[in-house]
Amino acid sequence: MREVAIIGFGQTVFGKFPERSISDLGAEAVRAALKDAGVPPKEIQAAYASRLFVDLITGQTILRDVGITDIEVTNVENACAGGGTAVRGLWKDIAAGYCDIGIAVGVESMTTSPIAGKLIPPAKDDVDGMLGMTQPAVFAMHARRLMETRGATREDFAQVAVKSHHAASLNPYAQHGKEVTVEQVLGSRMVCDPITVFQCCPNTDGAAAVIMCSMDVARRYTTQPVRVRASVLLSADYNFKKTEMATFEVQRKAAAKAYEMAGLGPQDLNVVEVHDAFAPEELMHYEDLGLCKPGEMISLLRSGATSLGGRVPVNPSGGLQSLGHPLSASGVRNVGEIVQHLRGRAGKRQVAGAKVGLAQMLGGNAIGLETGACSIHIMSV
Amino acid sequence: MSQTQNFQDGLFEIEGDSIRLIGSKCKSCGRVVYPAAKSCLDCCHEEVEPLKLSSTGKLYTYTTVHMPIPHFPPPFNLGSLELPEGLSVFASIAEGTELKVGLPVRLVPAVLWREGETDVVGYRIAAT
Repeated sequence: MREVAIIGFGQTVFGKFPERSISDLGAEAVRAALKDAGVPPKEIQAAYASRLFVDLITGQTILRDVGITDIEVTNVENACAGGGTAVRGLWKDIAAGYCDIGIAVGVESMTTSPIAGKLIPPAKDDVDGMLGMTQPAVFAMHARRLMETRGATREDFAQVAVKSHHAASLNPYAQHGKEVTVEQVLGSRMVCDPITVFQCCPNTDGAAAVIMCSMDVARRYTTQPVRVRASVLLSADYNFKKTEMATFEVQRKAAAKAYEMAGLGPQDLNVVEVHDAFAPEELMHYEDLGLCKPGEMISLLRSGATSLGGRVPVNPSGGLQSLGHPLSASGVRNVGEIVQHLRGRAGKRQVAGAKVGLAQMLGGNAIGLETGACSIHIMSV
Repeated sequence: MSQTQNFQDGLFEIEGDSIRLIGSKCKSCGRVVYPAAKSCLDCCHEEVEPLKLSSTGKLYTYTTVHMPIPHFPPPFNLGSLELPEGLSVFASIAEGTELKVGLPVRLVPAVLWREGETDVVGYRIAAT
């Protein structure tokens, strides 16, 4: 197994752009990533593309617009974890020596998808779905368990949204880049108690891409390759195997594997990006990733450790909540965000001196399962 | 006189003002799941048998939904209840039920929505 490097990242501005096609969004991210890496398009040997609500052969149509054809292209889906899955697939191919350099791209046009303005529908035969289950309701029920077992308050959940919007105000790519206060968050429209609309990710169109290669190839292009220290993708187990809803077992297992692969622990992390489609869930990830001891998610939040300027900022990009959430793009985008911090290129939101970072993505919901998939990548310089 | 139909057949049996969900139990390891499975999801043994679940349990978590979704005009309550057989079941919560984690609750038959002249019947959570 070879060491894999990330040498380029590109993303589109996130927002509502129904007039932009999937290939338009995707190609912009791909071009930006290639330019960032200094890699000519014809050097790309393989690609993974992730998308959910899009037509066939997405990867090929995006790459067609950049002059890349005649290579191995794989299109993948894993709900919100699709982007992380694309990165994982490319990592495996390079690590195993199937190719030396490739591109992972994630894209989504939520505003032109069948679910524009609506909720992700459950499967037709999903009994919970028929009885009124939706994504916001699931996370609201998780939030209630955090209130019950961790002493989480509504103000704590609102604080996560305030932190997220503040970070997004420093991110030129953000969809919701305006600061908000706890009062504004709590006073915004209630969606599923205790989650208010300012605590929910928006409908977003966007794309993100990363260029990954073997370390040998990386040294041809940069003196500052970002090393991928761990790459993990794991699917969840049955709900009946869990005793507490306030945790994601799949994430705990994935994190343990990732730390072992990387040969480091959560205390070594300088910057973290996680799935924060709804504000309360970010707190669950603090414990599941080992950023704090079990039971201490609220203390960690309230200490400011996960805010910009804190010991381990979480979602310095503004996250899914405020930067935006084009579903299959997010898992690529947040790997790229960590890369930016490690290279000192994260602009006003830069986490000073970041040397080690972790990007996590979760996705999917179906009756009987804890969730769908969890991907974790750890990177360092 | 309205017609009635179950929101999905084979999931439950109504017994007076109670409702028993029909899960399945593994003949080898005893794992109980709902909805019923065709083989054991835990040990993969091929033989499972139907099992009518208890209709009483404890409220595990809940939320009040304020957004419109098909068949359920807001605001309405949703939650999950823990059954003694070792599984949780999700359902809407009857109006007036106290929203408190740990509350003893039971599953009751309910008209969930109407389709034309037909009452669509299912289950919801109510206080005992």
